[in-house]
Amino acid sequence: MRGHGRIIEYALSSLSRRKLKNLSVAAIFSILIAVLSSILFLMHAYKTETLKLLDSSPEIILQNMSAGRHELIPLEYISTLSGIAGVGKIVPRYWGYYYDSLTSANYTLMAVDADDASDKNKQDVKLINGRIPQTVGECAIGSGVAAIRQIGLNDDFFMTLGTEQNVNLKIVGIFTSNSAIVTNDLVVLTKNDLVKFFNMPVDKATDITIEVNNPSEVTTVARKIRRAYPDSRPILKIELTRTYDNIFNWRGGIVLTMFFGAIAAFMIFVWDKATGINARERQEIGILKAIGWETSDVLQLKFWEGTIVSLSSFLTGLILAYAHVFYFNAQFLAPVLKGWSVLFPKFQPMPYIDLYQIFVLFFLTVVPYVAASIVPSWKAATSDPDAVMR
Amino acid sequence: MDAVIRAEDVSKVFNAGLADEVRAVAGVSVEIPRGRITVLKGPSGSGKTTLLGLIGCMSRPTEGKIIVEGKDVAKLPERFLTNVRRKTFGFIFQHFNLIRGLTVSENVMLPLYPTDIDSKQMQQRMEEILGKLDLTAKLNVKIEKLSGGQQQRAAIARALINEPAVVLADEPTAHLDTKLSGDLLNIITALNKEGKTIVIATHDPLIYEKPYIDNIIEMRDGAVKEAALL
Amino acid sequence: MIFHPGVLALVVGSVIVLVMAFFSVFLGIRIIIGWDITKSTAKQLILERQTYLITTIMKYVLGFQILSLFLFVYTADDIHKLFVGAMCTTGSLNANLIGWTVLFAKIVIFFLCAVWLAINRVDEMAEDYPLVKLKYKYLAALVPVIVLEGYWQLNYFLGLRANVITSCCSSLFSDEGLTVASSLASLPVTAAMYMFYGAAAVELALLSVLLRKGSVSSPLRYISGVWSLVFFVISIASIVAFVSIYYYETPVHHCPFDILQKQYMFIGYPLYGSLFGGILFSLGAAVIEKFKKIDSIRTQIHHTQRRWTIMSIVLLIVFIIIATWPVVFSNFRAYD
Repeated sequence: MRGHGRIIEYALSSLSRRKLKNLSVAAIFSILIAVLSSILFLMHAYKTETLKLLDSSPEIILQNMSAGRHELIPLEYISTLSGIAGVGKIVPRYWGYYYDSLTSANYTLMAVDADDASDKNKQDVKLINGRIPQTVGECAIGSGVAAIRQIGLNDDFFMTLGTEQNVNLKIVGIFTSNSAIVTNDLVVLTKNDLVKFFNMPVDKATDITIEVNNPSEVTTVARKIRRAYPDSRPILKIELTRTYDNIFNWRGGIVLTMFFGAIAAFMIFVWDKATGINARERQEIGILKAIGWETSDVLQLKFWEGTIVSLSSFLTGLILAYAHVFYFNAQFLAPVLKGWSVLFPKFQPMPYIDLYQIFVLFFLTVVPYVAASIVPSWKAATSDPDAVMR
Repeated sequence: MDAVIRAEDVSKVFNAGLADEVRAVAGVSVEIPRGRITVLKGPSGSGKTTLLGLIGCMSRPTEGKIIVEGKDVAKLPERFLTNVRRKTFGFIFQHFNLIRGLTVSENVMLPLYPTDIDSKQMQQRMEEILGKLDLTAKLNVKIEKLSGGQQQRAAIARALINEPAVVLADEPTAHLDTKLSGDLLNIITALNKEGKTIVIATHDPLIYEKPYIDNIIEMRDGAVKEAALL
Repeated sequence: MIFHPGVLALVVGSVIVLVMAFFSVFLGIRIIIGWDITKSTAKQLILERQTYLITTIMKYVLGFQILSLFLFVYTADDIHKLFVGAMCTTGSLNANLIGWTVLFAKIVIFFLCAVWLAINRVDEMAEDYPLVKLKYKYLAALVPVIVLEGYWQLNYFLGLRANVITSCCSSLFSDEGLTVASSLASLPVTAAMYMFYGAAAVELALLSVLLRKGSVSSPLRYISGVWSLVFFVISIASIVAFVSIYYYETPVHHCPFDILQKQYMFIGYPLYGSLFGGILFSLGAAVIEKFKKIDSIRTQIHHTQRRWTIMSIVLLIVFIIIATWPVVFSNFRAYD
């Protein structure tokens, strides 16, 4: 046990005598870990943010299907729905997508009911500069839309779908970037403007949200709705949650896989560095063996050297990633991930520490590093003790 | 005669079976008497350093027996061979083989790092030995800042830290001038007086012509040419 | 499912372990063929040095295997949200047929690797390495198990469909279930306690008798080895049956994984750590009993057995204390 401590001490002094080499390995390793951790941290932040928003969404969203595709839903369904036991508030929703050829971006258009606006106001008041539109001709836009159109509060906002369908709206509110993950590409306008713009029939809505009083009855209610309207598709909140969870895990995994090339390249670099121990290092190990260190003592020394380098790089990498994602808004990573959407949301993720993720990162980085350094350190450790005499 | 080490018909072959096969030591039998100074003498390439390594459990012979304190170590796996070496031998190398960047005291204690010895005891031993060799003032000086003679003494101190029964020296005067060589011999004879067995491999007449050298084994071409116990 | 970062990490870990295991078996077979301790040829020296490499690799394999066991449990916990009805790790493991198999395989490999290292350690104590061929044959036999485990693990994750409806732990462990786990959970608490403390008493008694007997070789060693395995199974069963509910302070929550979480002060780590460690040392001491007939290591084995027996006793006592703590000190009563 005593020997153990002294070997660790010697490992430290041995590393410090080759500062340049070890620092360069550690620096590269740290950066690699920082990149991987940034990806995972960011994905996790997106995931939690999205799931948090889903929390306040209704238990069931009912869509109408026609020929297997999403179709507008007749408002007459509502009276039947309200007859089902356990069903709470039922609200029809009006929304759609608009491709703006001017800026080559997709916007999500969503209607607020003018009557209902006062209610919504309370909820969204923190997320908006200005206010939610209340009368025809007003709108509120996401910060992404504002940025790409280079417009601000009280400016005019024009959208067109040909000569018949166009609106010119006054911007009364801009969503703050804190909420950007959902509001980035959003344009909120009154129901009348939206119906007119999309030329929707008056007796139909895009979908219907249904609240269920007792959460454990959601599946039963959904089943009853299906029975009443076999054509409809009730989407449960729990399903959404699961799907988002899956999607974000999947995205993170895909990116990690892509970076696997980088890890592999790094491993080859480490292999090279560690096998190509320079003459002086070889000489030192030769001396150690000559003066009575046993092969397993040298192996232990190498183990500690590797552990010190990899753990300190791991910590440095994690701290770098933490700062990068949570204090610098993932500035270096965002351009890479932006490819997924023109209006990639910019938001300030909530700082968090998740032990599971750290464990996963450890497994993906330190374990391969340690495994890759076994053979080179063994080679160094099994040099002939009498080599220094020749 | 009480022999600490007996080598019986020992051979060491390098690169066996290859074109550049070398028989560095061929069928050598020698005895190292306890408590005396033995010199392995001979020109370079005569196999004396290889023999010294075999005697000192640095490597295993290809054939033959090496009996250290009554135990044949010729077939021991490296792990156990190292153990025997740690307990029995102290080595003084031709090129000092000190580790640059470490202080004198660290260099001296290095052989004991992986052992079970208590750190305080190790420290004590180091201070005692460095005191004897007049290096106390240089305790915390980096080894490369020392003069040649001081480095030689540090190397000797390191050879003594495990309190060996046998001290082996490989061409110890090769890099020293006459005065320093004389100092070295004084230290070695002093150690011998303390009861340590000494084996020196050298071709320096300054050493083997000294009247108090007991036992000279002359080597040539990997074999013993002449062994005389004076 | 395969692109979940945790799954990716597990698969990467398995591949690394497999490569290392294959490599060491390859070296091991060369050693079995070429080994001749009576020669000091250059070839023998190379083989001897390769034993260091294999030992090092196996130590890392054991380390990775322990980490992978934990990562597997954590990952199962992390993905439980993806399954309807899965409330925790147990639910994820139930999501397809091989979830539990993978977990058991990981535990078995952990014990097999550790036993290999125990044999290896004893072998390295003797100057003639008497067990060299035996230990590398054992190593070769270990590899198929590792391959199988990697294959099962991959299949488990490939077979996971996020919308599969699984039973959560409360229904798995409910009284109506027919699974082994549910019958464990439905064990009456008092009966489970009698069984656990009885088994623990036998285990500790066996170990202390062996400790006192010292160097006398005895069939009791083997009995204690077998009993350790029995006690291991009983302990896991008891954790499900009563230790868990005392820690959770709810009569229906039997999950053996939740105690690893923060809200239970991570108590699961010392609990399982001391159990696995204690069983391992007593198992190791039993396995090496067989080699006592070899002269060159007999005394070494005595010393080692003594050390390991003491370690085992200490760890198992720690385990029993942690398992008993809430039973004695919590206000919760599972029976009345």
